[in-house]
Amino acid sequence: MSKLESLWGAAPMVLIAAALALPPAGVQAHHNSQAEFGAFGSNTIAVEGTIVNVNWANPHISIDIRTTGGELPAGQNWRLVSHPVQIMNEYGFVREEFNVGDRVKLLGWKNVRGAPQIWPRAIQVNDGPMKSNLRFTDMIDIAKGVFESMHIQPAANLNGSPPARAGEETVAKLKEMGLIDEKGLMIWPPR
Amino acid sequence: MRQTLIGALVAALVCIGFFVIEERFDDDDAPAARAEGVAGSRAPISLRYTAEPAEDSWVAGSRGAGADDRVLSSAANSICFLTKIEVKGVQGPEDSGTCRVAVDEFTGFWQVTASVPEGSKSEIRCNARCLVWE
Repeated sequence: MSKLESLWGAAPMVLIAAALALPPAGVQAHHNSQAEFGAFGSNTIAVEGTIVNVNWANPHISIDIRTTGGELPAGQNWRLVSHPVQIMNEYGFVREEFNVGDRVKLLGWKNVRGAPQIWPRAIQVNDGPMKSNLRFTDMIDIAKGVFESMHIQPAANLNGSPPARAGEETVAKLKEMGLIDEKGLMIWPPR
Repeated sequence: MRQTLIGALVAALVCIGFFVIEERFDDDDAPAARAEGVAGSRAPISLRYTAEPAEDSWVAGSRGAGADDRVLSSAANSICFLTKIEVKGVQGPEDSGTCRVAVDEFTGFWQVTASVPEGSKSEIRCNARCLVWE
């Protein structure tokens, strides 16, 4: 095959590559964890691992773990991704809690596109408490009546939070349970 | 006698060199012929391209510097390319930002990363697609 024929043969591939590069119309919302990890109320998996790296920085913190058990095969590399630093602090987490070599147990959602990433629902480091990483999921689980049996320490800012992002059904149930105050904010623990 | 042996050795090396060069550069049709030869015994490779992640990787320098990434697909059977670079808020040369597609060695997956350095007030959005073979 001559060089000219080779170039001519490659032309359709160039056109295909250019077509693939055209930007499609798409959702442009930022930092919506549910787009990458599923809805707050969907089922979580339990994972155990060892921390191999901590990236405590904006716009999202991330913690790399090597799995040791739970619902994922041992010996795999997974990245936990979560909130910005300030939000993590408001939820009751600080950088000093996470160190390379620490054992972690967590409940979380896997990336819906099959990437080795998990958004944690709750995290336990070594023998510490299993701490919630999402106040709206706390609200959903409280409304479902399953929260207390999960033995999760609620998000530090759960009390006094506006519940709208937990969904209308959850808000209605929380009102019925007497867990929404006169300003429409979450009451926890129950009075 | 010694000069004859050296001469023979040099001649042999030159012949081997020519043979290697000829194999490498003068056999254009050989790869195609070999590919045709095995075509009947192998399933054809299936190619597809991925959608962009629903959200761009995005950093607004006005809120603070940082790097935001979106995981794309396994580097074992794909190659990824930028499909979007959008920069806003550039007022001066210090307002820089970067879009990058690279393999994350920890996960073995491609990822697209938007980053804004300290001092930059620009906002940068990036996205990517991948060509996957199976």
